[in-house]
Amino acid sequence: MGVTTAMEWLGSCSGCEIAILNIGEDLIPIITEVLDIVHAPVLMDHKYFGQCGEGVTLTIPEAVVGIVTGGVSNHEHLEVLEEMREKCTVLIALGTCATHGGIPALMNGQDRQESWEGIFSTETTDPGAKIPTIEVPAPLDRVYACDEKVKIDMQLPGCPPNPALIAEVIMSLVEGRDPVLPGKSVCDTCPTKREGKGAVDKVKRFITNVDFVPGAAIDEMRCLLEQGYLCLGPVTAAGCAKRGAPSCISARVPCRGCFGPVRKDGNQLLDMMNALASNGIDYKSVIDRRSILRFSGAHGKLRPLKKRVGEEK
Amino acid sequence: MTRSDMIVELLEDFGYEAERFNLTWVSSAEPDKFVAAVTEMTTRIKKLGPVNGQDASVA
Repeated sequence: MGVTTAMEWLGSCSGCEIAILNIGEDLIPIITEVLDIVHAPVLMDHKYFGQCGEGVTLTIPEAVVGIVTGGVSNHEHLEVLEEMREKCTVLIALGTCATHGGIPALMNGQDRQESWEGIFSTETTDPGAKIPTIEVPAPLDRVYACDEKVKIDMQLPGCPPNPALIAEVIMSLVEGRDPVLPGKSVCDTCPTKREGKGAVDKVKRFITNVDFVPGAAIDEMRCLLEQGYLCLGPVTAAGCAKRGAPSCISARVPCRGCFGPVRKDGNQLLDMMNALASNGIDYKSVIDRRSILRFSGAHGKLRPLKKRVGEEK
Repeated sequence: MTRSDMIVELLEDFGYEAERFNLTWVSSAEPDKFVAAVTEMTTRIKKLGPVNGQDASVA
């Protein structure tokens, strides 16, 4: 029997679980010999309150390794996460939602009450319908990353995470060594040609294709930032590169920042603006600056804009 | 374009009031101007209150 493992998904889209499947052939020994999965709602029928609903408290079996995906956005997520922490010796946060808030944390940039009402009342909603309060778990005041709520032993960001790195993390744990993960930025793993900034003083919107020769290798294309596009490579953690170049770059598209900040407590928006200002590029040419935090809005980074309070007379 | 202009804009992006930042140039021979700037800033911040003052209550 392998190492007991519990998997759980919180505010998640199941993309991280698909990334686990994408480990490919290496996955077979992992799930048949290395790991013994005791709880995984996405994969198997294992219920929280006993198989016949006889339990009264939410219970997850004891496990050595716990893998959580998704951020913490409602009270159910919080309860499940706390139970996972209680029962697992090593808790891994998998994916950008779990490590930095991810896409669900975009809601942190808006008024929570307005968003909640917007979700439950659209043009087709029957008149008089109320926001459900029984079956739907109550939302928290904002979307949290897992490490804001419980202690997390290992963080592996990515939207989705790189299957090779998931396998590396699991194998390193089992073999009792430190995982070998890329610690630098996307730019450090990017093979595009850098020739100096040149005449770029404004950021172009990505409504035209970047300049490249179809069929030519990625390292013959010029750096997309130097071409004037807002590429988040400098402020995004490395790890997405699967076939040599970072994923978006190999599709000739600027990096969108999905692995979160390079340093755990980094701030992608602030770091990017700093980089632009240092190079004399007009930061005002960036449309919708706050969306640079689209993957890392937890940890209090993305907050609703302040409403102007009128002067009291 | 100066960095101080950028700070004002970025403060708003992060959900803070831009008035929390102010830059005043004061020479060492201008004590009155210094006192005025500090007093003005202090009253302004007191009026704005704590940073988290307007946040939604914890659910």
